[in-house]
Amino acid sequence: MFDFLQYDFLLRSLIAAVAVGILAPTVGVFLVLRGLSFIGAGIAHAAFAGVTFGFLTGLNPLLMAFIFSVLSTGLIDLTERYGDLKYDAAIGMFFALTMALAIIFIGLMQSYNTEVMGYLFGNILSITRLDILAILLVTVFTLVYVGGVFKELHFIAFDEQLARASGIPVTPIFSGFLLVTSLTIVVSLKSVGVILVFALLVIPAAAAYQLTHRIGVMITWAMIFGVFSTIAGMLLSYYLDLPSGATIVVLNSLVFGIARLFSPKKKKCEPAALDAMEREREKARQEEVPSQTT
Amino acid sequence: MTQPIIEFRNATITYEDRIAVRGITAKIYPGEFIGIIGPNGSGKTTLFRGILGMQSLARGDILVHGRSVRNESKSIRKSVGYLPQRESLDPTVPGLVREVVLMGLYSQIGLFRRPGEKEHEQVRKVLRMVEMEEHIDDPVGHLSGGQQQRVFLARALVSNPDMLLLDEPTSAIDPGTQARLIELISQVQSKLNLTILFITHDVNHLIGRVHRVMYLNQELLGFGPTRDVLKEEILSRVYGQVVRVITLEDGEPCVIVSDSHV
Repeated sequence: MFDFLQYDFLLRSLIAAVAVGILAPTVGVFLVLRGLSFIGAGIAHAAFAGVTFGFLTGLNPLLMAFIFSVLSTGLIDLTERYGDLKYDAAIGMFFALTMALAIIFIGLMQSYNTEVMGYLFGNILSITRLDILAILLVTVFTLVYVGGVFKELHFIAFDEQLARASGIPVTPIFSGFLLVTSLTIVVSLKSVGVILVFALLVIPAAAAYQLTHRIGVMITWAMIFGVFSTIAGMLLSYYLDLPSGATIVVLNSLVFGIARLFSPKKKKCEPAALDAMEREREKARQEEVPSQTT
Repeated sequence: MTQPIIEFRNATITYEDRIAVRGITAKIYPGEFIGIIGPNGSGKTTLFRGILGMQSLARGDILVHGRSVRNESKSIRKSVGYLPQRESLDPTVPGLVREVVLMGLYSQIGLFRRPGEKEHEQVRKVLRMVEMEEHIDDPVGHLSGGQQQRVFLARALVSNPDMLLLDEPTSAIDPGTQARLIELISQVQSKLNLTILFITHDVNHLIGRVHRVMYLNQELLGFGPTRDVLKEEILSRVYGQVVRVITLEDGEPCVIVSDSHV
């Protein structure tokens, strides 16, 4: 069954699948909880503009992707803060602008570049040793950072203003988080592609949200779903000759559907469930009304 | 003489590009229970944000424990328990009661450190105080509005602050639950000798409970003991409606707002 591991490129892909499967959902959980899922798409497109700029100018595409994504994140934040716009409008603006820049950079290239298209759609089977090193470094850095400020990120997701009022340094913590989000997206680009990295950030987190009321458990489930979908997607793409990024996202979506199906949060309308809800309501009411008959 | 715990010195606070609170001068002493009333947009929440150093002071100063919010807001925030308006909280974010109460200790615990047994014991103690200990492992989103407010009150109390800022804690809950919550807040105030600033839209909540009432409508229209300043003309001026103060059979005053404009 594991005979494919004799191929070096497949072993590298497997390592990348596990690392990206852990990495993307870890940051995705906090993006989903803060209602900032769409920023993943914004950063991914900015990173793609950086990749194309890198190929056009001969500079390192991944470094350019990182610089473009950090710049874009900063500008989105400034536009939201000083432009009297909501976050989604600011993200939408830069999403379109960076994609337009990417198209212009591609247009300026002398010839068709297959590598650029690799970044657009992703190909986990083309991961190099250097890519693996970058993915593993970012994974370790992200896990250390998110683990270190986990409780603060939870507080910020719960109520940013209250966190600020309680003396939590919200701005530096969240800026650091957006930085690791940018790094995550940049190193995941080659595996799942610009268009689909967004899905890997959001869908495992959204699926995990269906299953629990505990944030620690939510992150664990999101990682399990992420790793499962990337490994299974990689194997399916190898054996069935399917595009890896798209296969991973389809599997993720299936996982979300199954999680939703078994979600304890799902509103059920069966008579037994209604009775249980009524009992809970009655219990809560009795707890709030102290006995006045004694 | 007792030093004031909060001192407003001709404080003018801006909100976005306008003046929200103008020229407030007042002193609040340790252990006082202060009610704050005023119509929507009168600057009540901005006043709280000014005390926490979260809103710019255009003129004057606010001193908390003798320290200016202009340059010591970070340490001031850690010594104040704050319960914001409910709409700012998102109960759909996963969180158990114990986790939400623990959030009140995060700034003391510090970054890259986990809460220990001492912090968990503090959480249990404060949940016992607000009669919510049996819900310690429940998701906050599963609780009723009144229960959630008790949890958020516990969160504000868990760091042992000597001052609480409560911004409309009784909004969006039914009258019976409101009465029990206010009774609980009164008990906690006298038990811990806390200084409490309590914003409400219902003046009747304050009668017989608070030491002084602050009437605010972008400026300080009145500040004094409840009975001394519970005057129809002041309340009518605050709300822009005709307000009647009647005396009930038990001798307590009751405020009624009519639908006629002043």
